[in-house]
This record gives sequence, structure tokens and C-alpha cells, in this order.
Amino acid sequence: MDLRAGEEPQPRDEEEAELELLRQFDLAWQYGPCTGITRLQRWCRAKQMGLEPPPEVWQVLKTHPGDPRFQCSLWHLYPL
Amino acid sequence: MFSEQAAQRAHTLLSPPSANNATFARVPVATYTNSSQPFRLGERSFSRQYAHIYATRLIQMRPFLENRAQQHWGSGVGVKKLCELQPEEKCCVVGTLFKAMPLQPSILREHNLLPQPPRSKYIHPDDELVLEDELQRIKLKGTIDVSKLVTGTVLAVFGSVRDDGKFLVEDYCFADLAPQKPAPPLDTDRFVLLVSGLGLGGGGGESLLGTQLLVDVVTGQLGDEGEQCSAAHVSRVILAGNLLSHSTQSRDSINKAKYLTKKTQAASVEAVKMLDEILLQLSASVPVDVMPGEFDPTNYTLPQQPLHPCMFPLATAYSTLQLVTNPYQATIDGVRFLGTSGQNVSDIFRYSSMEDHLEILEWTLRVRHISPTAPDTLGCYPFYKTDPFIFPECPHVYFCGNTPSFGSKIIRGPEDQTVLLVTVPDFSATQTACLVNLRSLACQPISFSGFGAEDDDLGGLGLGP
Repeated sequence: MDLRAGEEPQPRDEEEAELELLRQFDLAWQYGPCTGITRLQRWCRAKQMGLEPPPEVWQVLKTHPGDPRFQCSLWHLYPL
Repeated sequence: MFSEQAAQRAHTLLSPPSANNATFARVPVATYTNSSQPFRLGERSFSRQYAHIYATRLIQMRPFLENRAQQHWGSGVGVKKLCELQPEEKCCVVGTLFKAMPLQPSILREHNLLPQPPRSKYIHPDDELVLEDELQRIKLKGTIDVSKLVTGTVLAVFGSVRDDGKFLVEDYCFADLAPQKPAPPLDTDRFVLLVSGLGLGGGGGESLLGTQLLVDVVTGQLGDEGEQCSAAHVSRVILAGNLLSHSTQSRDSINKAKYLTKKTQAASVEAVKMLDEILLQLSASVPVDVMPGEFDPTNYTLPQQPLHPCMFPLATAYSTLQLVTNPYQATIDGVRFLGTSGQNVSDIFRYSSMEDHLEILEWTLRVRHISPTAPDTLGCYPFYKTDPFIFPECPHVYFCGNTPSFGSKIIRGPEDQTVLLVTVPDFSATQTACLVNLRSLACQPISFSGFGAEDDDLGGLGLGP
């Protein structure tokens, strides 16, 4: 019982921290608008333009491929 | 130059038939590369806003403008963002212009009223300029020509912010010409023929005669040996848009009942068949590049994609026929060509006080952007990665099609760039095409006309000066 209660909060805390990092990346104005494109597309665009986006964001995106909570931007549930 | 060469040869017309017939080999294409890849669209997604294209435009142009600002106003000039401005402090700001025009057609003003009739110019003395950077916007006043500038231009302004919240502009500058690679020198005269606005399907028999004369001159079936020899020096033909006439787009059949329009065919079907036959004659003899224009059957937004080869079953048999995008960029024998079918220039004409199309063409080169009014008043694909309309490097020949008259000018840039600007006139109205000499970068018009029923004077027959 104690072991299970102890295991669950930690992965969730990590995930929450990663999602928070991605949300901060979305809201950073230096890398341009975030709506309508995936976070990976926005990160690659910032990299190509020489804006030096944080590499941690890329790491997080690479470890969770296909998960819309990670890949899509903060506003993806709102149309356009 | 073209007809001077022709005149030097001995006249062979009306001479007795000879055993040897002179044949002239067309100049071979030494090098040709099509660099229009940035204008090709793969999979298209329209579920994006246009904020991306404006953001990338500003991010890409900012370093060029900061360089120019330092060249103009000293290397110590402070380039600030709008949020960092201090009152009365002289500094430089880089941003995108927005022109608030009361006469600009806007669905928000017209949604329950009749739309205003189209005008040739939408400028008004009450227009205001607003400068926007990544975070804020500010109104501009001072020594800045409001009527000449258009929305979407990225520029650097020098001045200070005043108590009323507006920015008082003392001076401003654009990104100016991009760096240019020098063209390798050529040893023989080679010509590229630029034509636009063939306007097929328009119902005018006059322009068909002109088009047929043009095709005959290029394929060497007109004139005596002198002219045929000169025509053999034409290495390429570029058709810059509006191959079909505006009247092929008539939408009368939409308003009629279905039973009346069942057997009618779109006017563009006949016109495309005529175009196919003309392209067949041309491409059998010379490499042809066909750019779509405003009235051609392709997408409306810029960059327009090439016409589909299924529409030209006869002409696509030849590999010399190339269907290309609008805008079009290519390197022909080392000379870089860049051109559009004229939508960018005519859109700026509507929203700016500039009257001369050649002046507008030069201005787009100086702002380093092919079409700053896209996507505001000119339809544009919602790019998100880059803005492909920014000039990465300066072309040697920059043309635009479908202008009211022919014009050509050589301009110089701040780093010794040399560009030949050509405004290719609408062929269906003016019967004039342009010949660009690749060796000397000079351009001459060539006009075709026949004796029409209305013509009383005998002027304008044959090759131009």
C-alpha cells in the first residue's frame, strides 16, 4: 500500500513539470506565435532562424511522441 | 540591336529559289536552373492564422534593417523595441507598417450594406501609419510619406516618442537591395523573350494575329535570313501570366437556372485549347516557361502553382515546355531572373500613391520584399516557417507582367548591385513583348500589329526600334 502511494505522485510531478516547461515555451514571445502549429514545428522554426530555443523543450518533446498534451500547443482545443 | 543585326545580312527575300536552304541552329542552352522551389507548396493546410507569416517576416528582416540603420545613422544608434522607448529619447525602431485606410474594402464595415464599388486607388488623405513590432504598436507622424507606403513593409524609423503617444519620425530607411553574385560574362548575344497577357479567349481577333506573328518570329518563320538568324539567338521564352483573358472568368452561368446552362461549357475550355496549340508551336522550337497569372486556371493565392500538364496534351509532348510557379525564379546562362505576373505590383498600385509600375517594381526591390501587401490585401498562403517573398539575394533581371505599358530601367544598389527592371506590358492590349539581351543586360520592346479594320494609319508594322 505504502509503496504504491509513494510511486504514483512522482511520475505525475515530473510530467506536470514537463508540461509546465512546454506551456512556458508556448507563451515565450521571442519564438513567434504558437497557435496552429505543433510545438515541435515551432521549436524547429525557432532553431532554423537562430533564435536558440531551449534544448530541454526538444528533449521533452522527443520523449513523448504522439501525445497531444505534449505535442500540441496550449490553445489547440480552440478553433484557429 | 535585334533588328540591326538582321539588317546587316544581305536581303534574301524575293530571290530565286536556291538549292541550299540556309538553316540556323538555335543557340543551345548553356546552363539553366530553376530555383523556384521556395514557391512550390506541398501539402496545404489552411488551418493557420496569418500571424505566423508576419512574425517570420519581421524576424528575418530585422538583421538587415539593423545593419542599414547603422549605415545610415551611425554605428552608435540605439535600436530599441517599442516597449523600451523612453520619451524624447532619439532612437531607432524596427517594425512592420500597417496603414489604416478608411476606404479599404473591409467585410466588417460592409456586412449588412452593399459593398462599395471597386476603385482604382483606395488612398485617402486621412490614412494613418502604425508601426508594429513583436509586442506593441505605435502611431507614426512626422517626415514619413503616408500615401506612398503600404501595409506589410518592414522598415526602420529614427526619431522619438512624443507626449501624445505618437512616434515622431525624423528619418526612415528600408532594407535596400540584397547581396548579388556577379553574372559570368557571355561571349555571344543571347536573348530571352518576355511576354505577358496573351489574353486568349477574349474574343479579339486582333490580338490573335499579334500572337501568331510573335510565334512566327520566334520560330523563325517570319522575315528573311537576317531576321531568322537573329531569332535563332532567342534562347528562351517566358510567358508571364494572364494567358487567358479576364472574360473567360465570367460567372454568368452561376446566376442562371440549371436547365439553361446544362450544355454550356466554361469559356476557359476553348481558350486553353487555343493556348495548347500556341504552346505546341513555340515549344517545338524554343524552351518555354509558362507562369500562371490572375485569370489563369490555377489557385488564387500567391504563390500560384504551375498549371496542370493535363490541360496541354499536345504541348507537353515536348520537354522544352516548363510549367512554372508565379513568382518564378531561375538562372538562365548565369543571369538570375526573378519575376511575377504582376499581381504584387498592381495591388501596391491600388493602395499607394505611386503611379508608375516601374517605380513600384523598383520600390519592392528596395524594401527587399516581392509583395509586402500579401496577406493583407493580396491573397497569400499561410506560411509559418519562412516568408518566401523576401529576396534572399538580388536578381540580375527583375520583371513583372501585365502592366499597362512597357518600361525598363537599370538600377544600382548600395553594394554595386546592378539590376535590370522590366515591366512587361499586357500583350492583348499593347501587342508588345520584351527582348532581354543577356550579354549586355539591355531590354528592347518588340511590337506586332496588323492592318485592323479600324486602323487608318500604317504605323507600327514589323519589328520595333
